[in-house]
Amino acid sequence: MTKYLDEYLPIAFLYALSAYFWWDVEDFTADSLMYPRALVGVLLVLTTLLLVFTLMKKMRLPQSKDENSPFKFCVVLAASIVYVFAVPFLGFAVSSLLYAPATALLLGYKRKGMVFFVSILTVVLIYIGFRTVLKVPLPTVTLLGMTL
Amino acid sequence: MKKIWVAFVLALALTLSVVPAAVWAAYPEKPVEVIVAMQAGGGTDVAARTLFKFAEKYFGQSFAIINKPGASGEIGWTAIAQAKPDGYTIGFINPPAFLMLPIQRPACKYRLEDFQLIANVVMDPGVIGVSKDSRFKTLREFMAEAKKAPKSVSISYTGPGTSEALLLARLEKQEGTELNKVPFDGSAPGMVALMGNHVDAVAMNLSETHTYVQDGNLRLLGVGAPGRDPAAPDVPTYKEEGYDYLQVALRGVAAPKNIPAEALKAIQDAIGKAIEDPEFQAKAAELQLPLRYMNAEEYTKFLQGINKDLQEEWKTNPW
Amino acid sequence: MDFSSVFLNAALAAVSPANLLFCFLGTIVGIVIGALPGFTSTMGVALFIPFTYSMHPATGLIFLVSIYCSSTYGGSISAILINTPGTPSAVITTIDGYEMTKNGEGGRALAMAVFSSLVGGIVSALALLLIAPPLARLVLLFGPVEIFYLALFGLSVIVGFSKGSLIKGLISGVAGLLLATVGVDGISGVYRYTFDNVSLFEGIPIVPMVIGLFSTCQVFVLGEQKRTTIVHDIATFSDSSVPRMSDIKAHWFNMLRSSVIGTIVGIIPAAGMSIACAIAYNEAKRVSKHPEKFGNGSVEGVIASEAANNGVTGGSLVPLLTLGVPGNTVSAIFLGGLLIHGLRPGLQLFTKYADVSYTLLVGLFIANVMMFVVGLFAAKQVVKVTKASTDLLAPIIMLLCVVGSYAIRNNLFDVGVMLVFGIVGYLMKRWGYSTPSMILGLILGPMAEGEFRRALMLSRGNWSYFCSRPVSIILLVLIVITLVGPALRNRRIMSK
Repeated sequence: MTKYLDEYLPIAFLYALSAYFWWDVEDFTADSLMYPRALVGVLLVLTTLLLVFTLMKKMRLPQSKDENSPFKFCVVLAASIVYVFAVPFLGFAVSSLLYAPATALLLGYKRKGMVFFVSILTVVLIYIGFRTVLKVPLPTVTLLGMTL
Repeated sequence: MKKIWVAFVLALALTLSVVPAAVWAAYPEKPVEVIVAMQAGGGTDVAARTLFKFAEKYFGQSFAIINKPGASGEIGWTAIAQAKPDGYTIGFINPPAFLMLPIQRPACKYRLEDFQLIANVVMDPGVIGVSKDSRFKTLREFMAEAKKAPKSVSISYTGPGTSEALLLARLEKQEGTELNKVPFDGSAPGMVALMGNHVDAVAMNLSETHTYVQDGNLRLLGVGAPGRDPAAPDVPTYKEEGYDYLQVALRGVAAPKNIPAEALKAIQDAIGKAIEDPEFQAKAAELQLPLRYMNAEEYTKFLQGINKDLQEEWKTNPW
Repeated sequence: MDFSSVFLNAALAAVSPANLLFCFLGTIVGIVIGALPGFTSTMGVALFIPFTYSMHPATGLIFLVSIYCSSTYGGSISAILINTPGTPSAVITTIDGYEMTKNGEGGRALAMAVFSSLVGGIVSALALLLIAPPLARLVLLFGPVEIFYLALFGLSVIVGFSKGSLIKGLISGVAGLLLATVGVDGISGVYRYTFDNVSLFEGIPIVPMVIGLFSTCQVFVLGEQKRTTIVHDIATFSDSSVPRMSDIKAHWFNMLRSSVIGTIVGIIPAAGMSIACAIAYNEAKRVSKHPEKFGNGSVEGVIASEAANNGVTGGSLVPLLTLGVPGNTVSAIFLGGLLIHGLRPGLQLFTKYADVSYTLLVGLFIANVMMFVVGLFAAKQVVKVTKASTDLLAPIIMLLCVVGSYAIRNNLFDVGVMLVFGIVGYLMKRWGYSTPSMILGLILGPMAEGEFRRALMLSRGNWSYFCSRPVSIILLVLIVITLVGPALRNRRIMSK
């Protein structure tokens, strides 16, 4: 079943992408329309060729030499998404210090001391490097009068 | 007992009346952020960083430059308009592009009215130039040839929505002809095209031309300043050539509207002093920045005038 | 003042303690900037320009140029070790570099990367020093038609380097081209596919997209691996990261050829490192005795890519210093650095300011050597990262991804873009689509479309405009060879 999805889902997605780029062209002048539509044309031809070859079973999916764990994948994906959404609210430092140790430990890393040490070190170095040396701001959160 | 209470309340009242004044008097109590709507390292960015480095001396706190480039400046300018008006976030603006964006794009999220203008720093006139051995000797000759057939003469510029686009549209309307306007991503690629003889002429700003003129790669046909520019005294103004149009690129400082009055004054004064600083003037000369200081009032009136003209123009001759 | 005395003075000045010190500092800064995913050479040079305000011009410029050269090399460190290009210039290095690491040859890949970078840098520095003026004239020959063909040439390379299925590689490339149309069209002013979101007006931001497609995707890949090391078999892991004579002897021609390609492409304004690396990689594969190894850990691929991207460094300074026109985005920032120190590009730079400019040129050589020495040392230490547990590496890399994608424009939207493309990259990997091809499409798309439309405007309907000049014809021939060559050789259009 997954093999079926892996083969046909990208094709469906490509058709959807082509359709979007073809139709969302309100306000386009003639010359700025020409190029995207030409590209969509090429993409449609290629995707259809791909579809044909897939149906004829002539395409093979890449074989990965690595063994993967679906559980670990879900962990890292979910954690990363939550992390990115947390940054605007909790600031970079707090979010990172929550995300990194949690994710590493959930993935199965055993050395708790090492996890916290590396996470804190990384965040501190990033802070020094970006905010102090280069004066590039990072998202911050203000708690109890402190800006983190 | 009662006396002590009275004394205490009096003291408290006194302190409370003094403290807010102390809080106010403490501006600037932390660094001020300056949003620059252009890429770090570019002309605008370099001008801003140099200016504010000198202004820091007279201001008492440091200015932190933050680059928010993109969309010809719209991203950065929108950010300034939407910032908290507490006097700790200001920005660098580039009229007339700054004024043209909201007029040509109704969905633009800022307008001139959303800003408190503080000071103008640079006034850089536009120019039209050709290569050294071009057959065109004057701007009039150039336009005369253009009139012979539509799009027979090509000129490179930096794209729709710029002061150059406006100027070229006006020239076309006056002569009743069409130029072959080829947009490039910046004046440098346009110059390369000119030097390689891929285009007949180039439209850019005076401050960008010095190296090319000196090396003999560029000859200026006209300048869009109100009078002849001291940096290029043999170049006639557009007006002298029969095209009475002003084309200048300005650079100045603005803040979201309704910042505290003393923040406005402090920043304006710091900038004014920086501009008069001889060291800064020397640096500006090195960077080829033509300085033209205007304080908040002058600047506001000046831009409002230009804005009104642009709005009128857009209705009849959109650029 | 004759040339030799000017040169001698410049050489002496370039090795003064102050200049050497800042060259060293710049090299370290550059390598760190390059290695950290998300941080680009452009950003690095731009952010350090203010540091140089109070320095003597030559020192300041040597500092900046050291950052430029070593950050170009630095990108290969993370590209090779953790499959995340530290800078977009290292995207092509990931293809073979990471495979070499998985095979336990990470040290060897790093060693050859730094040596190739040295060769690339020196070749382009020599070109800059000795033949800058004639090279500058080459620039002027490239009008819109020629640059369009160059972009097409860069794209045709996709045909050659798709690992696996050709159709999927082409689809990735075309998808990249299509995504590149998002944003304001520079020629007509039309806003395309922007959802009225200001952050999309300039198009999908490239650096967050590269970070997502490579680095964030790698976070997911490393996270889901059951094996907790990058190297497949820890027993084959070799700590050695010194370039081997055998490698140098076998591949010196590849290094030189790729350096020359890099230098020439660098000279052309608007053509940057990605296109140079792509062309060099493709050429190396075309003439290689083992083309099938490309994509599976061929050291030739790493050499070609790294020599080419450092070749661009000197090349990009040619039009900048002689004509005042930058050769790529980093040298455009460099222009700001020059101006700040009162140096105007053009003839004056080599006459009135000869002492500063020649010191800078000599300094460029020294910067490359410094990069080699420090780089070797850094490589030896950094290789140990591949022995760290992937469970810890993955979230830490994610931290860098977030910082990197935010820091470019101080815009949270870019972080979102990074995440979205992280997921896209993971899916592409799973389904067998080539991510470097998509990046090439994204980078070259605007170039191809823009120059084509400009050429169309200038041709005024006259089709002979497109094939009348010598450079155009040469490029057209090259494109045809690249497209037709591999097809004739392999007769394959499906996965192997």
